[in-house]
Amino acid sequence: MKIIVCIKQVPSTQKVAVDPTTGVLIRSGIDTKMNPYDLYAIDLALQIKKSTKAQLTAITMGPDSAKAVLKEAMALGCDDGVLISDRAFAGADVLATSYTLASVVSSIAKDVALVVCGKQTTDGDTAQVGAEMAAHLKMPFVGLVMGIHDVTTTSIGLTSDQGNQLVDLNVNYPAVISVSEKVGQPDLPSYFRLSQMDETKIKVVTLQDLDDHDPNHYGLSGSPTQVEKIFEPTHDNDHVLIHGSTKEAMDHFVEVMTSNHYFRGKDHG
Amino acid sequence: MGELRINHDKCVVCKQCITACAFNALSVEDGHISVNSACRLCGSCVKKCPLHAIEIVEDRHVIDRDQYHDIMVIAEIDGSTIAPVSYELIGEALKLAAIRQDKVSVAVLGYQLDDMVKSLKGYGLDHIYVFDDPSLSIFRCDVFANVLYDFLSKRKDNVVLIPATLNGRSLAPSIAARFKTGLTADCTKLEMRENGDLVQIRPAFGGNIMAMILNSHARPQMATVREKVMDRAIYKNDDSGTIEKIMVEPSLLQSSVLVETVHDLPKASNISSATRIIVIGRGVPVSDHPRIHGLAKKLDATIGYTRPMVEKGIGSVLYQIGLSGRTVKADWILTLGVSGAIQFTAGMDQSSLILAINNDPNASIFNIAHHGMVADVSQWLDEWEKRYGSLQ
Ligand SMILES: Cc1cc2nc3c(=O)[nH]c(=O)nc-3n(C[C@H](O)[C@H](O)[C@H](O)COP(=O)(O)OP(=O)(O)OC[C@H]3O[C@@H](n4cnc5c(N)ncnc54)[C@H](O)[C@@H]3O)c2cc1C
Ligand SMILES: Cc1cc2nc3c(=O)[nH]c(=O)nc-3n(C[C@H](O)[C@H](O)[C@H](O)COP(=O)(O)OP(=O)(O)OC[C@H]3O[C@@H](n4cnc5c(N)ncnc54)[C@H](O)[C@@H]3O)c2cc1C
Ligand code: SF4
Ligand code: SF4
Repeated sequence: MKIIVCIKQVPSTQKVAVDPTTGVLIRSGIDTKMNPYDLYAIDLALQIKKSTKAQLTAITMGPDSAKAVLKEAMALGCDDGVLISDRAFAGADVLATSYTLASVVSSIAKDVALVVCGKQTTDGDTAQVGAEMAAHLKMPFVGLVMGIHDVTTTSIGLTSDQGNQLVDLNVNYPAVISVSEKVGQPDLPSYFRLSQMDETKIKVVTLQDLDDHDPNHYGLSGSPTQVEKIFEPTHDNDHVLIHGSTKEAMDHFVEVMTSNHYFRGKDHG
Repeated sequence: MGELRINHDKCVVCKQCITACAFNALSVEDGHISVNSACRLCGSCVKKCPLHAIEIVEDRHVIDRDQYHDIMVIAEIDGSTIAPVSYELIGEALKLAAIRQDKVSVAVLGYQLDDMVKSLKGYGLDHIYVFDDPSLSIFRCDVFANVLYDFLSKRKDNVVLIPATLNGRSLAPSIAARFKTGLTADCTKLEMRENGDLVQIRPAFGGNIMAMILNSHARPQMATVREKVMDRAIYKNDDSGTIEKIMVEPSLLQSSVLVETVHDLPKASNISSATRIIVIGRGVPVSDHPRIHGLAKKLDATIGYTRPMVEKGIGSVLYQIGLSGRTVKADWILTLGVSGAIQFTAGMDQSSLILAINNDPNASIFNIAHHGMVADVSQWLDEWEKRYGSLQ
């Protein structure tokens, strides 16, 4: 039985700003880390591995430096790591990213039982890659898994967070899932284990290794969305203090609540 | 295919592009600037380079925009009602539709929907498409996506809007990938161009950056929108909205995912999961507490307390906010007669919108409140009742 966990390297801070004159992203540093939501995915995948003796592979699409997150995943207990890296994959939006990951899964692990993703990333922040991957792989998708039960080598019980309901589902493999941070605190790899990881054990996959190697299906060419521009959000006056009559205080309260759609005035109810 | 091209004859390796790139995609290799697969072709380095040594080379196919009209909203159901976010998306869709005289319709999936869907009439919708089947009573992503893709692929909608709820955020990408079209997550602003292109604005990097996104080469253009972002549709009290039941092909309902049990979550059994909060502090006269409960009801908010109120036995410890209580991250939080001690604010200062009323202009709560109002709570409640009626 094979399990794949998808992880991404992200900038270590979300505090990016835009230069107002050039419209260019300013970074405070170039430090990167593993997408924190992917630690929960790894943790859950390890739990399933434990009871099924499955082989657990971590995959990531990114530059050469993304090997660092694969090493981290291996230090946590993943059996091996795959770096998906090729100029042809550059400029990928969610559709192209998920298609690339799906192509890798079907090319390297034809008999995969479960693909495990994080809930979202802290950079692109779309929370869409997992579900789109499932569609490409023609597998069912279960989002925001916060618990597992009845784990066997043919099926698994999953508790999915649906907001006002928790739904227990039973799923026959194969399937793609995303993992909620509500599953519990994940482990962090120890420096010692990390230093023991051998980078040469990481396999690198390029376009030529995939069953579909038409470059038009990947990267910018395979991406329907285009980011036209990026800019900093405008904050309406961060702190205001209304120091006047009670009437003015109420006017201000109603104005703030209605402009934020939390109150609709007289017809509210 | 599209790619980033660096003209090494022009480049002087000043490395300005490396710092301009937010994705760590550029580096110096063998004395040349080199781009790796992390590149998103965002264009930042292109703008930064003083020597115009970087360009993005694109080639794209064209779609026939004029074939695509109309907007479809996928409704969200909450228990036995249509969730409010659905009306917000309908409101936004109607505004967008006005630019090109498009029609707006809504699709509702679930079980025993007859009464629910009637409440969608009278808002200016063209059609209300109803998919009513016992297999649709609990959300299963693959089943919902199969049914909707089958339906939508027979139409030529220009735009499909889906609520960015927990389920909507799984459903939308499942449909978009089946269409191989673009999907923009959590849009906070949408604009329709005369040519039918939808301008989509969304936050990324945890809200530190806004991105303007277009999907000009594929249809339908798909976007998700969170609750309380758009204005609710206005009830017109007319006969608009033809209800049409759609027969669901049984093969579309088949799935390897089986529902075992469903646990309904009780609404906020402690304060931490509340998203709209009114806090009662020691400055509020006890005789005014009933009016504040009335206000909370009106604003669909949960009441929280400062520690002295819990110590006095007025509030339960499960509803105490602060260091020795619970931490909240509310969409909005209104504090009444709360001084703003650090042990209290530590439990709520991550909330998105903080409003405070206190009669002391120097109260420290005003240092963290986005909107501070100096007023006497009792008089302020009187003013509310004068405008909107009794709170008792
Ligand atoms: C400012 C900005 C806004 C953007 N907005 C959009 C948009 O609205 N629509 C759109 O289509 N694209 C958008 N993109 C592009 C998109 O973020 C990236 O293309 C990215 O590849 C996909 O998504 P994500 O980071 O949002 O991942 P998410 O969908 O949030 O990630 C979910 C999970 O998928 C897995 N995963 C994601 N990426 C990888 C990877 N590279 N390798 C392995 N596993 C991975 C991880 O398990 C992760 O936890 C945007 C990019 C930027 C910079
Ligand atoms: C270890 C430790 C842990 C603690 N943990 C917590 C905790 O978890 N939660 C917590 O809340 N506190 C906690 N505290 C206590 C905290 O320090 C404060 O004492 C407490 O938060 C004060 O509560 P309050 O704002 O309701 O009352 P007060 O500080 O008495 O403030 C009342 C406010 O109401 C205003 N006011 C009075 N009359 C009116 C009126 N008519 N109209 C408008 N405004 C009026 C006053 O100007 C004043 O600012 C802790 C303290 C310690 C030492
Ligand atoms: S900014 Fe332009 S000139 Fe400077 S290193 Fe980059 S490509 Fe070369
Ligand atoms: S286009 Fe954007 S992502 Fe690509 S190298 Fe330039 S700055 Fe970096």
